[in-house]
Amino acid sequence: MSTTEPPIDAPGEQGVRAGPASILSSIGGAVVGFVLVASWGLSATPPPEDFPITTKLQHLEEHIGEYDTLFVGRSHIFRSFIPEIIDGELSQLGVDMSSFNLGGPGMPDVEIDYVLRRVLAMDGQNLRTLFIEAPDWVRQIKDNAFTNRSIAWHTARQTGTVFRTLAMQDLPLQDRFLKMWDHLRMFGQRLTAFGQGRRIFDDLQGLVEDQPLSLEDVSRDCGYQALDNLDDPSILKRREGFLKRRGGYRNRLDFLAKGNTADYNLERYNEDALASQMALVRAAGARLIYIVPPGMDPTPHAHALREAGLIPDLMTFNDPRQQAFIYQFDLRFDGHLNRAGAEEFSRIFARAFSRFE
Amino acid sequence: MLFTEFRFVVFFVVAFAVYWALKKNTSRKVWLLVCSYVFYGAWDWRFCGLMAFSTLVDYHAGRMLGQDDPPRGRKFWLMFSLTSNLGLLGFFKYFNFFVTSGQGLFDLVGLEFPVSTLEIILPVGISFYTFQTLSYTLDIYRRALKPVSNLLDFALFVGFFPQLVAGPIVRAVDFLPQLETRRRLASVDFRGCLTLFLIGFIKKACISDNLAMVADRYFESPELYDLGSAITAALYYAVQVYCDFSGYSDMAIATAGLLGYTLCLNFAHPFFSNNIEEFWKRWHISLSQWLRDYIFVSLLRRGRNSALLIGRNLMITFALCGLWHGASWNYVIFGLLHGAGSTFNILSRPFITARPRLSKVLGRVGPLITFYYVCITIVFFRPSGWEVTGTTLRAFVLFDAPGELSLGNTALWLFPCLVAVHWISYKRWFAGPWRRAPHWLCYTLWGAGVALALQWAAKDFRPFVYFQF
Repeated sequence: MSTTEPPIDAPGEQGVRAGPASILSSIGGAVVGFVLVASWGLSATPPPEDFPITTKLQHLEEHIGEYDTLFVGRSHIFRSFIPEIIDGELSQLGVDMSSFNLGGPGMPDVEIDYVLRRVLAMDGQNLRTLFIEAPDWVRQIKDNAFTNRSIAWHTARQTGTVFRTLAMQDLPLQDRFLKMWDHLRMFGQRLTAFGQGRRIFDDLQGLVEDQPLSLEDVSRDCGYQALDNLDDPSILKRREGFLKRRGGYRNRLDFLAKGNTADYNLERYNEDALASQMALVRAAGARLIYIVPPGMDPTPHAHALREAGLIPDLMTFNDPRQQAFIYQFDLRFDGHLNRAGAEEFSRIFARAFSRFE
Repeated sequence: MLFTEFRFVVFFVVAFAVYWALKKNTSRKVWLLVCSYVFYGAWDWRFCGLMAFSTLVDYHAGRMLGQDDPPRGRKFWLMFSLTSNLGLLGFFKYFNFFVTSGQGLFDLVGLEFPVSTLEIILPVGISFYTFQTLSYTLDIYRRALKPVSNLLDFALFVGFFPQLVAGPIVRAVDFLPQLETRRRLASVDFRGCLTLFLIGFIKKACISDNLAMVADRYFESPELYDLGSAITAALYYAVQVYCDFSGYSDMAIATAGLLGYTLCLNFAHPFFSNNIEEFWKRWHISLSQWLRDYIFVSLLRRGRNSALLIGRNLMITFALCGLWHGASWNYVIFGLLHGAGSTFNILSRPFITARPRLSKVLGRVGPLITFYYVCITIVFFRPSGWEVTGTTLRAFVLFDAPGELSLGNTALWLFPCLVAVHWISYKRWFAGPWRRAPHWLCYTLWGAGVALALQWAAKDFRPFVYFQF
């Protein structure tokens, strides 16, 4: 054995005999202590704010009346739609539009829905058209499932809705259990303010989290941001990897084209969530157009939903065979469009939208 | 399954409740063995067979060694145990290392190495349980221990889930006697165990995992960062590894304590060590004692050993210590640097002792120098590649950093706080009041502490650093 002394915290050799009253007071004390601090944490947790949605929502709070169109979705919305170009191009085609890019990397559909609800709850909004990335609800983007926004969405009511939906779905028992477990964990994390200490501490001090996208950037580019000039090491590494795997990119495009036409079982689709989202936008007096950006993932659900008549308006831009131009290697940064690609795409989108109208 | 995960809480609550509900000691041990295999199988159920094989081999070898055979027969069974255990460890952990090292050597002379590497998954905790079973047969061979007559006891000694995957490396002589008697719930020190578990959780989830995010950012591309960032990252990485491993050990000791078993102490404030020799008496104590008893002592000659011979033995022992940590040359260098540090301590001791003023000064600054040296060596602990190690060391030792990016100083306030907490714990200032506090107050604070720890935990749990060993 070591010659050093044991730490203060080493358990003793002998426990202390405790009567029932003492045991009850101990358990009660532990529960009270836990509940008090957890409740305080829940109430003190600032609203979920992740890059770049924090800054965008902050900007919209102040300027919501200035925009009549929003693009809401994941990274391929964020990195592809340049509102300035879209508005200018449409203006030349005789369509008046003032748009804002409300895309954020890796948001699962429940988060997109959450962001949408926050925007529609803002006073003074004057929205006419909402372009929302076509949701499949079932898919969870693994790396982003436990983001602050996703966790904040898991109130008891929302978690109950997810559980009911999962109970109805025709999923293998193990899949259903694992999905429920994930949602239960998110619900638990929300209740205990899990991992929110730093944010609570900063919020109490009035500190604002550093955001890689400033309010000035958001205001200048109406929410769009190009990857080209960022010096984040992880983004630079992604770019390096992309350049090295030109062959992999071609294979990915084949996979994308085939995946889009694959069968999709609508029996497993959460129509309630879709209907609720559509009703919400309708109630706000806006038109909802579901959109598939020029991304790298197949979206058979979007096509199946249109064919089944569940979504009236859908615009898709992820067919590398039909839209080969926007899938050129040189227009991509790391699978996402680079600035030149986004500029070209924004013009293509504006023309397509004028025809769509 | 990690101790910091919610599913472990569910697993442990069930294991604990059933364990104490069972009346007979044998039923309890069977239940614990089942739990241990479920716990291990949660990583990869296929390796449960490997652990069972290792258990059977050493159980049998132990029984044979315990018989009064002629020395030749005993030697055979010892070799059988050593070959089986080290063979498994060598194959799963070191095969690819030896092959790539051999390839490198053959490349130098322009020859082609005849063996190629294999896709091998390293079974979690294999180094820990192999050393545990080895100590059992070695102790029987040395007649320091009698073989266990009950396979169940031995299987539980090997597979006991609190210490199975990352230690402490329990000795049979300490653990097997505990299995002979039925544990009493009234003897469990709930307050001590729950407090220790919470402290371990805080070390791992709140400190280590949060510091890891800062350190990882630097070590991904050290060439981009400035000097301040390099120093911060190296300091944080040292604290991260300490809190990670000692946090795990605390939780393991606490978990075992709640089931009525005592595990040995594994860490004792190593960052307040005066020199490297003392550091290893406070850091991963169960491993350093194992290496001391079974390797270092075996290398000593009968009678007086010269300082030079002791130094040589220390270097061999520490090189093996490094290799135990991982099958890579960076771990060997880590070990050799610690061997060099310990040898320096021994060789310089007569010189320092003869000079009281120097001795006094070193007594004051010793912990700082030791911590700095440990931070240097621990850079080798991170398998990030030679280039990363070189860039970091250039910054940390020569104060020359190539980049301009900064990690930011948002987390710098944490470092003095950590030193203060470590100091308070070292001085045991809160031990008495905490023990004397009434139950209701203690547990209310504990409950509040759990809630606070959850709030300050890093959002992404990382596997324990020592799991890879």
